[in-house]
Amino acid sequence: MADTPLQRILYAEDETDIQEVASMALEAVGGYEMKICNNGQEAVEAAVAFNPDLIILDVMMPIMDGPTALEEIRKLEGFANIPAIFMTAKVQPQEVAEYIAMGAVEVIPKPFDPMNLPVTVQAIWERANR
Amino acid sequence: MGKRKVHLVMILTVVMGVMISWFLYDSVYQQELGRIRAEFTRDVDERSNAIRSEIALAFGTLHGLRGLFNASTHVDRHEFRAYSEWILKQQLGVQALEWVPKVPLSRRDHHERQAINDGLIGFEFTERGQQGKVVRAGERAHYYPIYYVEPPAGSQTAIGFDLASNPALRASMEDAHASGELFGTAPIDLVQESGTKIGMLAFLPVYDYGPYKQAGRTGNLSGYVFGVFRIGDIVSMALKRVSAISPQIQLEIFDVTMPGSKRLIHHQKPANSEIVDSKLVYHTPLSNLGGRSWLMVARPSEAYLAQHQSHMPVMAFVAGLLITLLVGLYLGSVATRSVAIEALIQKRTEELSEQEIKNRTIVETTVNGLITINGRGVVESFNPAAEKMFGYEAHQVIGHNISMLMPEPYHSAHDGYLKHYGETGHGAIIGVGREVQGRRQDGSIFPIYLSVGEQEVKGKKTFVGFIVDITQQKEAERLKSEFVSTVSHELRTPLTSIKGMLGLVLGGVVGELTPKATEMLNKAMENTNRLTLLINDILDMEKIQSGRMAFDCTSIPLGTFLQQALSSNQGYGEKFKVSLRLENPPSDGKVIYGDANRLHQVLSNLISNAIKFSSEQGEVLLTIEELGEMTRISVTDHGLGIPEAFRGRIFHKFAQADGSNTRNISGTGLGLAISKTIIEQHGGRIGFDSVEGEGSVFHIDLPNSCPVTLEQKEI
Repeated sequence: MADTPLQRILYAEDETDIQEVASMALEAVGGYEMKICNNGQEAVEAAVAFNPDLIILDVMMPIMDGPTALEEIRKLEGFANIPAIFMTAKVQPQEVAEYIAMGAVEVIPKPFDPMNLPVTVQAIWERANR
Repeated sequence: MGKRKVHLVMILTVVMGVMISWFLYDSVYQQELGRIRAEFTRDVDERSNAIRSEIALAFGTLHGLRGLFNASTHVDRHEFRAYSEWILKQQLGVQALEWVPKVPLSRRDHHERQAINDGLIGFEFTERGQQGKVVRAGERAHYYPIYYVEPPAGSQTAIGFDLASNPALRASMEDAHASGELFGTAPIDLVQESGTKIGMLAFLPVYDYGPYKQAGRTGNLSGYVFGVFRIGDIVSMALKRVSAISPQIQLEIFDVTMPGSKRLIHHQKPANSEIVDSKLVYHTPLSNLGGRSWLMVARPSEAYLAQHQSHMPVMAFVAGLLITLLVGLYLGSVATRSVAIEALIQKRTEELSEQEIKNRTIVETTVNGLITINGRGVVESFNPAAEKMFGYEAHQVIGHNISMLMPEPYHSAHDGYLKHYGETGHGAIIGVGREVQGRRQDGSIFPIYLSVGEQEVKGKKTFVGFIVDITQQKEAERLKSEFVSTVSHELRTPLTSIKGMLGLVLGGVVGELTPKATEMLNKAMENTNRLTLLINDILDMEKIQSGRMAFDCTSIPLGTFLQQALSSNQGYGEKFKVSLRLENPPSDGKVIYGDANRLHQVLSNLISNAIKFSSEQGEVLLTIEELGEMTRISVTDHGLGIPEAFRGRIFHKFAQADGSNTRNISGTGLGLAISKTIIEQHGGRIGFDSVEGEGSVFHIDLPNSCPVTLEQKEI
């Protein structure tokens, strides 16, 4: 896994504008294969079929929020150690500490620079696989 | 009420004082009277003894005369005269001395002839006849004629008179003969040239050879020696010896020989002084004076009393009155003072009770809980607000341990806190307030602000807990925090879209842009970034105000720290065509202490401000300086400087010098306020020096160790 390049990213975000920005940045700029979900529930359901290398989750989402989704995905077979990033506007130090405690490898605060997003994600991926 | 009491005290004092003074006077007077009486008695005894002696001397002449007869076989008329003359000169109280021989009938003629031979013409033994005339004595077995008389003058009628012719006298003479003792007669009037004086007769039997015992003595009686004594002269002579000492005594001498009869025989008045009829009357018996009993009655004169009396009783009385006056004044003043004190106490008691009512009203009506406990944690009082707060009635709590009102962990630890405080005097909560939790009767837990005061009355420790229910305050804080957090999130979400899309467009992802479009989209991007910063600053400010900004303290390598600050602002500097330079890089091992992220935030804020206010082609300098216990990091620019008028509020929130600069100098106005708070939380200082038009130097001083406040705030 360490030698596998980052290819597929499972991405959950309820705001379609942000979905569009992030997916464009990661697909068009970064060249990654994206699976975009509208909430946590969809992400959990799509995970096995899509078989992502990395998960990026918004925190606040309808139906199922990001932390719950991560918890559920980690329960899936083969997903216990999948690297996950929270991309959120809720970045109080306590909140960041909580996300890390849940097993997220990094937190990307909103608003983010879309042109730098692929570089950032790639760096996180590499760090997670060291 | 008070004045009446004072008057009563003074009247009682005066009455008591006068009574005591009178008692003092009387007792001193009685004591003195006793002393005077003793002195008077002594003086009178002295007189009576002198009189006794004088009478003894006078009567002694008869013993001397008898001695003459005893010592001689015959005493003739010349010898009698010679001896008597001498005695009469010595003893002025003796008026006359006589020899009365016992003459049997057979020797009558011989005696009558002998007297005629001695020159007494017509001498014969006589007696008083029936008409009272003196006649020749009739015949009888024995005669007792007055035979010798000295002085003879004025005794012509008496000489030859047979004393045995007087039956009363004869009986007396026989008694004297029987006893052998001197015998005195009742007082008689003595006719003198100077008038009548009171005198007495006394006689002593003479025996042929001494006064033997009664038995067998009758036959030996040879006669009697007689004396006529002037009582007044004898007493006067006696008194002359002592009267120089104290003449001021009245003396009366009575003959009291016959029971029931009392005849004044001498009366002596003191000179120039009236007699005082006082209690000091002294009776002295003068007995055994030739069978007579006299009584001497003495009274002192006023002069005598004046001489012997002192002023002691009066002085005692006056002293008593003076003391009464002083005691009266003292008690009066004490009573006045005590009345004043009583009034004051009453006033204070009323004030206290008024204060007590006020205090009770405060305690009972305050909306804050007031609970007192003793040194062992047992509740002593529980006010209505506390009842409402905790849902208990006072009686359910009073007498129980205060820990019943606390949830864990306070519940179990409270006794330990008290014990620790009792032993060490150190307590986290005494004298300061803090937020803790309370437990209601229904078990629910609620936040409270508790401050505890301590008081010690008569060695008994009491703790007073002042409790504010901060449930609503906490809820408001939570809502505010949640609101800020939500607003921040809701603002960031559209910002994320805007910034993201701007970024993609500017990045050329969606196609080529005209230069004008690029310029305008860049401005839109700058303002988006500015809005993002503002939201971050507002969130920081809210955290600082609510005390929820958390710090942790670590050692931070200074060189790395500065380089990061420079590199993260490098792009910003380039944008403004301002270069950044570290003037004196620190040594490799140099570290500072604090929360790395927050300190980075502060230094970045100062650097970005310096860049913003520098001129184009300007330079921003970072300088390190050691200030003893502190490390100073200075950020210098050569820009506009800080206007004088702005300096005082530069660290205030939303403070900005001027928004109308031609250069695009933008900011939230919160950066320096946040920086100041962060640096102060680190135990450091932030300040600046500036010259308008020349530039500014901002510096932060950080302690070379972790400040205590940070460690306490660690989460």
